[in-house]
Amino acid sequence: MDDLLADFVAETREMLEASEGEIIAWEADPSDKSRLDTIFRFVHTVKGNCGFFDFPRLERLSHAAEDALAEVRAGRRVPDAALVTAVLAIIDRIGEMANAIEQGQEFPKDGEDALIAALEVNAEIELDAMGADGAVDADNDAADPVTPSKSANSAPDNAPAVQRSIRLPVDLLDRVMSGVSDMVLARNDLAHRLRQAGNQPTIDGPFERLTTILTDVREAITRMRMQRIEHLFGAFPRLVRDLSSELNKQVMIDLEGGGVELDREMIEMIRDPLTHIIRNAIDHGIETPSERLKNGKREIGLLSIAARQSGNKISLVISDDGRGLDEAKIAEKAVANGIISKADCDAFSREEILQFVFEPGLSTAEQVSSISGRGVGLDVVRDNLEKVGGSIRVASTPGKGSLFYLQIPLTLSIIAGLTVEVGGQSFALTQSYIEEIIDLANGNFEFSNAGETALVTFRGERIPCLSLAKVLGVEAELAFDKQVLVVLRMANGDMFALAIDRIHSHGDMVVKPLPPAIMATKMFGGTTLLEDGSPVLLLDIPQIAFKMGLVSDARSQTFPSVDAVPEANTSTNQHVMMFTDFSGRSKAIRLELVQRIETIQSDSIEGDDGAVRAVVAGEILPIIGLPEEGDENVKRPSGKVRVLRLSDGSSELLYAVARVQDAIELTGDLVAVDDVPFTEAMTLVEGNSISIIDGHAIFAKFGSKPRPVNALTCLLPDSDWAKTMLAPLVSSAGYRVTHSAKSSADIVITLDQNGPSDVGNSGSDHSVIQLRSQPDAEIPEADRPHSIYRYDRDGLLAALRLAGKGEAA
Amino acid sequence: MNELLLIATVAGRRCAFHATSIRSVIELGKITPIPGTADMVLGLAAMRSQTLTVIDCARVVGESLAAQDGEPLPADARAAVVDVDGYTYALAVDSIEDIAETASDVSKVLGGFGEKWAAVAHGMVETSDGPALLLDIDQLISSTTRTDRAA
Repeated sequence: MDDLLADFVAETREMLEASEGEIIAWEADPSDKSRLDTIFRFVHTVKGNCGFFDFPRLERLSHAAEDALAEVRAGRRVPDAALVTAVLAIIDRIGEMANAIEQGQEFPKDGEDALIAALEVNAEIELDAMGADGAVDADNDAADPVTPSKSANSAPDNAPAVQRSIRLPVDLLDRVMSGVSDMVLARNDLAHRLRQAGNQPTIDGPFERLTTILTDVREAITRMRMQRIEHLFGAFPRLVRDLSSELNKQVMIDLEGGGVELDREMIEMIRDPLTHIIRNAIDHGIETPSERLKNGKREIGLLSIAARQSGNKISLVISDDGRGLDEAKIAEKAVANGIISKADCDAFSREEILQFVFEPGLSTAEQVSSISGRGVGLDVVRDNLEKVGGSIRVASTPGKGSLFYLQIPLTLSIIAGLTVEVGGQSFALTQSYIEEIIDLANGNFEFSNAGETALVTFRGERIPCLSLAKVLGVEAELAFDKQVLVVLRMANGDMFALAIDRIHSHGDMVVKPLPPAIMATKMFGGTTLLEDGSPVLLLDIPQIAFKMGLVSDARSQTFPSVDAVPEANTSTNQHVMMFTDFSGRSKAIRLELVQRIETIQSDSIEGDDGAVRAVVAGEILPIIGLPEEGDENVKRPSGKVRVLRLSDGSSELLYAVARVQDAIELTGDLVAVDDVPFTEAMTLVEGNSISIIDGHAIFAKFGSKPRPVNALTCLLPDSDWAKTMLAPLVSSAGYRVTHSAKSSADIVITLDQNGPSDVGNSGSDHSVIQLRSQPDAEIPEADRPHSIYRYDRDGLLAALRLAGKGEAA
Repeated sequence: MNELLLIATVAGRRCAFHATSIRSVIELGKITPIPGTADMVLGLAAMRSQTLTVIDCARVVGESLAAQDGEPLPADARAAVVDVDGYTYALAVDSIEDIAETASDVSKVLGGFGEKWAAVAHGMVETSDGPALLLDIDQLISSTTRTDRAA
């Protein structure tokens, strides 16, 4: 059922339960004004909601009741028993209809007009017709058609087949949640101790069970309080649309990170602050279309809201590309309001002065509009956020826009994280920030220095590179070029790389808050326990980035203005993947063709002369780029081979390379070449000529649809040896393994001729490989070619290949 | 009224904590250091799958007898576990002596205990084995953040 509808039903039912007592009290004393108000509110709310959901009948009922009660409230009508009964009957009916809505059933129409008519001032006659206890009668009449199986005098059906919901105090949920996370930690501790104690089958079984149960419970518990922030974001496009049309501005909203889950209560707490910041941004930040055009901007302003989870905090970034904050004006106002003295003013940095917008009574708007600018607002926003333990900061570039950076805590959260090591100590990172992990020892990455800052070129962009060891003030174990880079993307789209010694593991972590003494370092967001029970600190990436000055004021790099995109397409903005082939030459291939970089085993490559194929992830694909067979200068690669998996959309092929270099942007002119096969053009990259592979030509010649390997099925004998020893070997060679003689097999392997004889001897639609237990030396030479010794790996693989080819032919 | 006290040695001095506010006394195992924190925060330790922040009491009063720079704590180092503001701390001390009963009210000493001691002490109490300085756990904890700000 639609979420909103479920909410409506739950709300109605809850109000109904809450007002039950009131109704009875009102019945006892119809002149009680406060009871009347409660009931009035109930029907009023129902009426409002019905209009929203388009339930005309429900609306009609509640509207009638509301009218009658309004008369009473206004003193134009004295409540009598008849009226009370009629109102009660309607309230009961509302409850039943809500149940019917929840179950998705049509509610019978009968009796509605009578119920409404009973509200009329002189309705005694109809009431009498309904009986003295009309409410109860109406109950039963209505309930029966919904659940015909129920006996006539049963209570209204409160147990619908669809999900039931109850509401619980948040405190209780909190207790349960922290209890469960403690249980997870205790389990991890226990797991560690069990491992130390060695295998104990009697304990391991139940422990496994405990683990599974705990995982389930934890998942359910986590979901109990969490809600996707989408629920909050959902209302913003409308808000922006309404505000911008009211203010004659054009604003586009971009929402990101809707999947981030947040405590339900927290979502309510930040609703108003966010709304306020959006109003501000549209009213003050974003200029009118004409002004924007004059300043060389697009006439449509951009407002973007991005949410990210980081440790036990959610960061929200609200940025606009408007006129930015006016530092001088804020300083002036701050002085005028006596927040700071004129002399102090110069001592503050721009950054610090901007934060004064959160002081009470400070509004820089020249005109007070109906939307904002009354000087109450941002101070309230800050207060509200701080009340829930959050924080807010503002950054702004004049003329370019401003950015509000909010952090809101999650009192408890289980996050996906990565454990890394630097200087012999482990730290945790929130997985959601991680864009990519680069092993410097394996790669060829371009570094440069801008002053003190190291830069690394990542996907053609230069991004700053931080040494985590330096940030933390510890000694790194490895030299920089042996370290691992973790490329992180911040909520506002800025990227930076963090150099660490090594990566340990990733997994779910229960993050606990840190005491103030540790929070004061502004580097850690929480702590969690590793499986071995030792605590690790969770790095607070946004804080570290902010501390190191890596957060730019406006969202610029990853959000190019929409105008720039068509330009980029017409320019020679082409990316290629550079690699070194087996003869040591640098070549390049268009990046769009490269689907993936894979590493395959050289023995999964087979075939010769132009028809070489390789098995990658269960598919057979043609492979090119290997050195020619018999070329004495270049050895065929052995062991692991790097291949580029190329795709033209429908067919795929592999290109074996000696080394993958980097993705670069083509800047030089392309010189077409006709005489070199499979080469599209030559170009200059950093002074070296590079040939670019002609994707069209190679696909025309070699491209093929990926063919799943399971065309070749291998039937193995149904013995333990075959299952434990033979099956892994056969399946790693790229064949599908079956033990059931009933399934059709392309190749049949028998052992000592006692294999599945019904298939093994039945004819020519499959090849048979016979294995024997005696080594070659133990049997007569003449018998050797007929069968293969069962531990002769090479012989078996060769036979499989041979059989496979015969099958394919 | 007699109160129970936990008697410990901090920086060589006889000190006392209200026994009611001590959750337990543990032997400190491995401590995970925390880069960037004040000296007196030794790091994190785990106790029964809970994380404790280990505070070196000696450092709080400006002496560093419990652990020299970079030198590990003695293997049998003890700590008193306390809960303050919802966080759990382990107060590392030189040694833990005993539980004793107060034999007097908390009193000031003429001339004071020295500035740093005074900041974290309720006052002096008499016990059957002699006087001890009664330490204020809340002050002890909050002093860790105060120094941070000054630094």
